[in-house]
Amino acid sequence: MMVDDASTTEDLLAALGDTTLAASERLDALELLQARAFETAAFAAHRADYVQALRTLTGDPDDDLSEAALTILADHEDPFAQNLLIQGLQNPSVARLPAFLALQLLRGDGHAATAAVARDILANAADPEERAEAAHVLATDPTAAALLAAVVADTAEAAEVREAAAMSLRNIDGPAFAAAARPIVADETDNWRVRTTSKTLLALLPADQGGDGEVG
Amino acid sequence: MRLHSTAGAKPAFDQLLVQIPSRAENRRFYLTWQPIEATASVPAGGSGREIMLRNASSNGGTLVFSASRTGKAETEMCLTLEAGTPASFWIAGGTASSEDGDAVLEIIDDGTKKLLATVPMMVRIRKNANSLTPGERARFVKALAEMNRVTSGTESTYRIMRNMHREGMDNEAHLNPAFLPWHRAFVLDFERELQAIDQSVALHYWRFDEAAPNVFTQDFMGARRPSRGAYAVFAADNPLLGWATDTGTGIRRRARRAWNPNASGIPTGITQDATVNEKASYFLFREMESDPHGRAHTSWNGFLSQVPTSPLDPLFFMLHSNVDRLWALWQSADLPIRANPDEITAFDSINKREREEFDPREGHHLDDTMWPWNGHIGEGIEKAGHDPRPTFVVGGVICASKITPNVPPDMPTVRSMIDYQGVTTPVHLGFDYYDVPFKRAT
Repeated sequence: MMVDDASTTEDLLAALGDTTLAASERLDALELLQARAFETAAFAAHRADYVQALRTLTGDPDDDLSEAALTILADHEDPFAQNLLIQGLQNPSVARLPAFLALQLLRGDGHAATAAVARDILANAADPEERAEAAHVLATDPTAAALLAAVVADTAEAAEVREAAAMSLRNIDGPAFAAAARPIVADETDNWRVRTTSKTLLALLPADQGGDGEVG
Repeated sequence: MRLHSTAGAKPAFDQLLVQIPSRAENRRFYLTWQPIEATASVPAGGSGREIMLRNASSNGGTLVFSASRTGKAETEMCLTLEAGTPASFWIAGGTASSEDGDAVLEIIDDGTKKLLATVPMMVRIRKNANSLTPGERARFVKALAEMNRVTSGTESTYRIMRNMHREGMDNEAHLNPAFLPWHRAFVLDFERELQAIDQSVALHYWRFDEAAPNVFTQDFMGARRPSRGAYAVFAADNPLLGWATDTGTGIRRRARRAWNPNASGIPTGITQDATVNEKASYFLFREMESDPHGRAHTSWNGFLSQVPTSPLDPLFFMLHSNVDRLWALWQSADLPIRANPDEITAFDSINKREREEFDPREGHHLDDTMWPWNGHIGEGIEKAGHDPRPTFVVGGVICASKITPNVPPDMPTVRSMIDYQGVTTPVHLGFDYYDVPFKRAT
């Protein structure tokens, strides 16, 4: 099956699910479908089939296809994909993506299960990149302010984790962020990157929330 | 802050009055390629004199003068002034500024050669974002961050703007004739909001058909992660760091597959030349909504890849500045026809009878006002087979500018967006692109 701009949407969907085709050809079909899906109204008749094909593709043995499908679905906040990502974080043996990437795709997902797994990773994961992404996920969890403030202030924590916690804390509790950040900015012995990040974020914070009120 | 228009400016120099109607809210002068009619005069009862107007800058922005709107552009010009009788001249940008005030007008007494005044100006032009100076980049991201700042109890201006392009408004701006006029109004509204923060900022464009190694960096619009990742990476001192959206923080943007935006344009077969030069009518030209416009969006995963989320990423506005620039280039290739809204090759508006019988959709006909600026919701489109109008409005009327008072109207029409340079009428929209000059007769 030839996959190109002239292919019908039905043919592209068929190619996407055709495991006898090379992965590169199926990825070509996926890119063409993604471009067509951008035209929301014109694609409406195919959207349900497209979503179903993507969900099927998340279990494909080809890693690139599986990751591409999960990424697109997660961009659409698809609950099936979000559930797969959470399951992978809870049980790495069934994970389809590395933990840091799964966490990135779950940013903005306000479900309690996502916040719970992010808290667990922030507390227990060895990899700073994973902990940083967990801190980013908590940017929509207003109950995480105290936890994030503690991470921001912890000079023993990796800089990238503290920076991520600072961004999330500023997002959910400006005054708490300002209270945590001002001592860091004033402490010349603290990590330069954390200090610079704190200074940048304080500049973005309105004065009535304890920020500088002016972008530097 | 939504601004309101007021009158032009009248700097006075020792019995000499020069009026240049191109003064912004901060009382500084901003020009584009479009010649602006200005006047110089000596009050009645004063002494007549001869003056020279001269461009006094060689780096950054420069100025040109002409005796008529489309007359030959010169870097200096002599005027003979008689008391009580204003003499008109036309002033425009010759080359683009990189900083506010780097274009300087000198006014000289042509008899005594005495320098009467120097007037700093800016030739404020939308440029290729890949070619900006560090200062231009810094001012641009700072203004974006300021626009996205949330103060207690209010929505950020950025959030208001991005909600103008969300789920439920698709038919107002896409897959119909007004795709380009609607987005021209949208990016102009956005640019004016940026300029309400910093008048020296223009809405620079991402040329998505070319590599953009100076755009996708940590210091500017965000770099790719060294390892694969779904979010752009920013330097610790970039004001876009921790970009706030209603879904958390950060800009979700990841180039698809093997594409590297620092090394090549988007992976589509359609070049700029093909987009601009191979379409004989607007009806054919607006096929670019799918490619390259749609492909520029869907060359990324993340916010840009869907209509409702795409403006969460500020790159959206640079992408659409380039889409609008492509339209401007296409128009420029056959003037004045393609700037004349009443020419069928310039805009494929459906006529009144067809509209009443077949397509009642408001916002895609030449003299329609457009949503959301017109505030119309839910009514007037009840005929079977047509999607309802949005059930919400957001943003109010278009942001005003003192530089082009009342242009476009508060509620822009499709017509008001077509002749942006004022080719067929002296009314212009007050913006220009670096590589789309104003065409003069000589």
